[in-house]
Order: sequence, then C-alpha cells, then structure tokens
Amino acid sequence: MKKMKLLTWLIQFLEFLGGERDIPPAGFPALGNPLFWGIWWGALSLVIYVFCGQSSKFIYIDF
Amino acid sequence: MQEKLLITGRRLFAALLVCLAILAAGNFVVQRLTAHTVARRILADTRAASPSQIIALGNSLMRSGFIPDSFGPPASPQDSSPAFNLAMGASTPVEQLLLFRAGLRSFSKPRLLLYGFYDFQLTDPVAFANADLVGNHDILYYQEPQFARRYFSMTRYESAAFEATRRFPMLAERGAVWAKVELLRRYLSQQGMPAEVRNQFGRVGDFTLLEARNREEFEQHCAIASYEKLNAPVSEIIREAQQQGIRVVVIVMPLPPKHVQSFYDTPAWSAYQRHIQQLLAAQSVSYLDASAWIPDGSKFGDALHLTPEGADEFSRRLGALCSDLENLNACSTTEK
Repeated sequence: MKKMKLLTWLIQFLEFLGGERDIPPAGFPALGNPLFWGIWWGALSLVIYVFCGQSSKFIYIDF
Repeated sequence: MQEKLLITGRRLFAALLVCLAILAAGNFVVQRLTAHTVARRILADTRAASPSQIIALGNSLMRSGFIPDSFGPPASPQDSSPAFNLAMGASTPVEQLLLFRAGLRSFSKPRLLLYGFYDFQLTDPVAFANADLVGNHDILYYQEPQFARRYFSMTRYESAAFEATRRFPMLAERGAVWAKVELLRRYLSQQGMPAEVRNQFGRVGDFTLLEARNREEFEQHCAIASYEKLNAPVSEIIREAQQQGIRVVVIVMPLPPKHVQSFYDTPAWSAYQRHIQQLLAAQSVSYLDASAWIPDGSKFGDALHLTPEGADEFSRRLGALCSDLENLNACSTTEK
C-alpha cells in the first residue's frame, strides 16, 4: 500500500514537473526555492544538449 | 496553493543564475574533456615534428593510406621518418589548409608536399551550414577561424551562428559529446543483432555513402567540374607551399577496383583529369595518378580506405618515387 502511494506520488510529481498538472502533490520539495528550479532547468538543458545530436548524420565518429 | 506557486521576478532571476552556473560548469567540463580530439592531437603532433621535410596532406584516404616509416624509413633508429602525415579524416580542403599552415609554423625546412585527393575534392567549392561543423570539422571554430572563414561559404544567418558557436566550447565541441551518445546508441541497437562490419574508421557500410550513387551521376559531376577552377583552399595551399619553396605533388589516392571501374574508367573522368592536370601544370604543380596502384580489393577496408597492409604497399611505392628530394622527376604522371 505504501509503495502504491509512493508510486502515485511519483507519477504526480513527474506530471507536475512535465507541466501535465498545475498543482504539485503534497510534500513537493522546495516549491519556492529558486535553487531547485535553477538546478532543474540546468539539468534539463544539459540532457537536451547531450541528446539533441541523435538526428545528425554521423559517419566519422570513431577516429 | 495558487499563491505558493507564484514565482516572483527575483526568484526567476535567481533560478536563471543557477541554471547559467550549471551550463557554465558544463561548458568547462566539455572544454576539458575535448582537449585531445583528433584535430587537436594532430596539431600537437605537428608541433613535435619540426625536422620533417615531407608533408602528407589530405583527408582520411591519406590519413589511413600514408605510413611515414614505410614511405621513407628513418636514417637511424634514433631518428624519425623525414615524412609526416598531416592528413585528417572527414576534412575538406579548408581544414587541410589550416593544418598545413600549422605545419608550416612548426616544420623547420619542409621541401615536399604530397597532397592526396579523390573524386572532386580539388574543384568542388566548400560550403557549410553551421550544423555541419561537427566531428573533425570543429577545427574551423578554433584554429584561425577568421582566416578559415574566407575559404568556405555560409549564409549570413549561418555565419552569425558560426560566430556565436565558436565562442562556447560546449557548442563548438558538441560533436564530440554527440559522438559518445551515438556510440552508446549503436552499442545498444546492436544487442541481439548480427554484428556490423567495422574497421578503424567505423562502420564499413557508412563509407559507401561518400561515393556517387551511380555512374551517370558521377559523369554529370565530371562534366560540370571540368569547367571549374581549383577551389580557393586548394589554391591557397599551393600558393603558401610555393611561397615557402616547397614542391607540391597532387596525388589521386588509391581506390578499390570497384570504384575505379565504376567511376574512373570513364571518358568523363579522363576528361576531368586532363583538365586538372592542365590547371596544376599552369601552377608548376606535379600530378601523380595512384588510383589503380592497388588492384587487390582485399587491401581495402571499405569503399574508400586502404587496410594497413594496403597502406604499407602504397607508401613504399610512393616512397620509391618521391622520397629522394634531390630527384623528384619520377614523382609525377605525364599528361594523358
């Protein structure tokens, strides 16, 4: 039961981060903390940076 | 709850600062991790090879095909070969010009430049979009970028993107990061699949993409190129070499029998070669056709590149003709 609640909370947490829902689940950490949002957007930017080249045509990448 | 969600301007600014700090850290990490990319390693090797008298320049065909020790063995075990391989894979004549200029600053007394090419490398104009500058092309961002910019065309918009990109290592070296992800993606996609044929340069099948699709397309390209001048970076390589008193030999690199039969054994290619020979002769540049020197297809690792065994054979044969700097008469092909 506890695991189910945690899973539901996690889904709601990710949905809030992804913009799917407007209200975060209860106990959402540091909602007003700019440090949290700065790290979140910084991390997202880095993930986009690392993976946005996948559609490029690579042939000479091994040397 | 709604009130708690409101983000004030101050908080937004603080969050942006934190985000920028993370990106700056990413920029620093990428700069450190890409300190030894292929182009940077070649530039570093160039600085350590000052006694070299013979320079081999070109793209991956020369990089994989020219073995300095086979071309001209060192005079004694302590010495290095008088030849130096300055070629770089996946490069156009613009990157080759930059490497050559770096070589001219390092080598104390260079006397011979062996410039290898295939297909239309000498005459096709070089044009880039900023998005094309990944992999070894990234040298254009940091090695004399303003000089290099004169030798390839870009739209005004792309040019602005180029200027912005070259100032941030994270953007300029993005190809090195993406290549790691691509390798991981390929590794994962290979799970449970038949193994792909690979060689020292990557997937063998990829290099067929660099050839013309068929003979008709190739002949049409020949017909157009037969009216072109040497492109600007190639002309500049020749000009700078001759200004330093370096003799230039332009070599049609060995290619697999299939490529030779499909594309080079055609009247269109012969006409294009006559045109090239005339252009080169007008500038006192020698021309050497080595395209059919290696008739054994097994000495090629893919549609373009020699295997180490083939490279050794090519380098020895080239060395027999071109390593005696006092007598280079044999180091050319007479006009057909």
